[in-house]
Amino acid sequence: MVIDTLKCVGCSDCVVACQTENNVPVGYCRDWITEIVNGAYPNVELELKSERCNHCDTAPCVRCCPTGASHIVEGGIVLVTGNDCIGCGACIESCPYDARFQHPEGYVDKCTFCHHRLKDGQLPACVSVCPTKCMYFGDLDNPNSEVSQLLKNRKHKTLAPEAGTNPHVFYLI
Amino acid sequence: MTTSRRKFIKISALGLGGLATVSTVYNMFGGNSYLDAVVKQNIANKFKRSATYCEVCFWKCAAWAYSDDEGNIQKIIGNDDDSHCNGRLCPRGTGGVGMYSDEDRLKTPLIRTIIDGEETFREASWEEALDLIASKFKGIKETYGAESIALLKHGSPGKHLEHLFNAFGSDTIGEPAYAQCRGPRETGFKLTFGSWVGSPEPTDIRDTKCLVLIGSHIGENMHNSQVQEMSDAIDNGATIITVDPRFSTAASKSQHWLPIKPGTDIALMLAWMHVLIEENLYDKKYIDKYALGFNELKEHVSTFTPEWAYSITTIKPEEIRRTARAMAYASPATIIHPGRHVVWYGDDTQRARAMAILNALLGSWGRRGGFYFKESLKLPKFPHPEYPKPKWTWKEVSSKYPLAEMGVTTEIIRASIPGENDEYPVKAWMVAGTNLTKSIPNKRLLEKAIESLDFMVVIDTMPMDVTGYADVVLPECTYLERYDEIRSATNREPSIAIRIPAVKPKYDSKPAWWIAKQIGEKMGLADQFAYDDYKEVIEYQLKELGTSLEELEQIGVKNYPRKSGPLYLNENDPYTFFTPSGKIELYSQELKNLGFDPMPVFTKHPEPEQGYYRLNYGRAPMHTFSRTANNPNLNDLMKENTLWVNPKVARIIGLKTGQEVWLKNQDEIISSFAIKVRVTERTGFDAVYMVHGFGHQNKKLSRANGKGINDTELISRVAIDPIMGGTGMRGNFVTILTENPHKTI
Repeated sequence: MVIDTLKCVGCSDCVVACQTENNVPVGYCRDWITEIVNGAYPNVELELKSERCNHCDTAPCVRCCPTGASHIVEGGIVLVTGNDCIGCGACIESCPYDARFQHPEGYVDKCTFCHHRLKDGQLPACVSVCPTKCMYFGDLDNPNSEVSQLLKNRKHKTLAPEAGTNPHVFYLI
Repeated sequence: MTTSRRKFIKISALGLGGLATVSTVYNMFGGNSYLDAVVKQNIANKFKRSATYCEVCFWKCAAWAYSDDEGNIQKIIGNDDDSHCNGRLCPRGTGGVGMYSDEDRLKTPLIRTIIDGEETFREASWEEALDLIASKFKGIKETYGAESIALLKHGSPGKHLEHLFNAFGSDTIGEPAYAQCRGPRETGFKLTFGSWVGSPEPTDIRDTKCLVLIGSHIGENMHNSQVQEMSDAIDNGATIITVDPRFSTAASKSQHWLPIKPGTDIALMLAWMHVLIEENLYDKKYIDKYALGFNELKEHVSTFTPEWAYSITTIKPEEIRRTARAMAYASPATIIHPGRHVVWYGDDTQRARAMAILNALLGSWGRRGGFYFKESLKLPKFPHPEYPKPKWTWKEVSSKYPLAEMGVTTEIIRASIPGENDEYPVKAWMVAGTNLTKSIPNKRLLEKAIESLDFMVVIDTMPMDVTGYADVVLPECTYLERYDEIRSATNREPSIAIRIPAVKPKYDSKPAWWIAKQIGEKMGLADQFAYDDYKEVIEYQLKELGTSLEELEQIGVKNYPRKSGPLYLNENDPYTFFTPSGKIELYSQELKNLGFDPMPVFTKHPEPEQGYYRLNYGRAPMHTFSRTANNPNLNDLMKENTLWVNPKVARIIGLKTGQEVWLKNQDEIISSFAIKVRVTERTGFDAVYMVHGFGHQNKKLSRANGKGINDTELISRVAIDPIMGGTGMRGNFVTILTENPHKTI
């Protein structure tokens, strides 16, 4: 996933679209908006962006899961099997992005990149709804995909690179 | 008249229990986040898809509502074929689910009564409530005339009630959308180009090379297709210039941010005109061909140099010149955006005129990347007997303001107070879809008018604060539960969209068309409502248009080819503007004849005293007016507003982020509730800022009650535009109280 911070207006549509698509209870969220303000008035900079599970290559949540409920599926998506999750919370602690939470029903929940939609050829709900079209989703292994081209041609960053997790969400800056 | 007669009743006064059996939408898939995706998909396939258009704001994006067998709205997704949303709803549209599921909704009709000496509401049947309304309206009609019954409205319900009012002989109708919002720009642009800006604005942002936003914060106001097009413009490398004392989201996307001193926009615009003319950067060919009064304008702005404007606006002369040149370089693909909520300091028609004149100098009206010529489809009228002719209408009530294009709400409100306007006395109100305590400034005047009324009906989906003043409250069902008018959109291409019920009305709520018809029938006007179901009206209109309800149920939106000619001016053909002269009027003889300035001039506006800060307000992308504060989905995104304070100011007063404070304005009005401070570099030193629409009084709004401050209650000083009656609301100053002023000792 690639997110263009130059276009994001921080409207939170991605948050509410995720909630209605994935039945996330009100009061919880799988994605969220951050706002960073730098400088002093009137020389100010603002960065708005949508954050979620980074679906890391080296995912600490998967490594620390005692039951195997947290796992990586084909395509590099990190998922949680609710029925196998004992709700120990180790993964919540291990995630440098604070992307996981305990669902009121006990299991740990987080972004799935809308895995159920992908199988149907649809984009994740957040990407499909974004009014600024600042989110892109595709195959990073294919050098000709839109996301690969964006990363090739635009300045970008990942979050908490020092954690060594090799995240799969990239931010254009 | 006793002042306690219309004491504000909090709707929770009498029990409404036993009705709130909300089935849980959540957890229906069990405790598994992904493995049962297949199951989920199977359920998804069972969802019924119903065509609708959104009513959470006025943009009216066409959408699909997905509902399950149990009558729950699962999700709402934009219609791909709709030019208002292009398949992407904004957060409010996506969160429209919450308008339906909100357990605090109005559930039954309510009638004001006295129990044990206390004013309260009791639940009533529709029959009883409607009988009461019809008999009261008939009584007032006989005594004072039908004209004395006024309709104050917003959005879709208004249309049905307007028909009822016209049918019984009243055209005393107003909506805050004019005098409290976009009125000045409609009048200002009409004076210049002969045409309203209208909604959606015909700004060709998609193809623009330079977008100029003056006090307009696109991205925080989530006018869907405009936000989408601004994003396209960013991709295309367009220059964005934002004029705003606050570092808005749009400002953060801009190459040029001009942190102007509040209240000085006209001075900046006059200096821009000066530079465009002085440096010969204006579109000479366009002006020669289409405009009138250039020499007068040239003479008028000759002394308004950037150096002159610097002393007023605090914007450096070289920045004024640089931005003027950027606009000229991109012209005619440059947009001086007219804005939307444009009631600032009382000279707002002139401010809009300045914007229109700049657009004319840049040659952008009727040009690609500037403003396109919009077009809409005229809907066939469902036959009904001719309306009786009222003896007076909103026009007479608003006649103090010669160029008012719609009913001036604040004048209708004033005419409701005995002695204020005895020629056109207003005795009863029907209020639909507008929460007056948050849409109308000067609460004292509003409450005085309400106390003077003989009768007041409020129609809403939610127990908004205004319902507490009513004699009768009627629960309207939400847009997801009803048929409504066909949406005929004004856009690049005409289109229609339909709204059909996705689910049955929850509780004992009813659609506005049904309410209008019932009252009409009880007033002996059955022939004005010759249908059992509004569906028949839609079917008739669609048949006349050569389509059918069956087709629209399948597609939701139907786009039509243009008939009125090209999207832009054809420079080889003559063009007649709809102004008196047929030309773009840089100099307005019409204004001159009425005794107003024929060209905009800068007027100095009051400044805050020591210790006071200008109260600025705006929008958040996930909320509409005060309508959505209690919506469970949208409340979850933003629960309350905060008071933006510059860190240097915060240091002087000793404020920290998260600290609760109260505000007192220049007229000693103290906010009802506290607001949390947000210390941020995004705002300057002489103003504080908050998002509009919070601080709800009604306890029945369980999520929104008491959260944040209602900016409108602190707006007691109103600068009225003498041209069209707009209520300038940005001239109020507040001081920050760190101790609770409501604490009783």
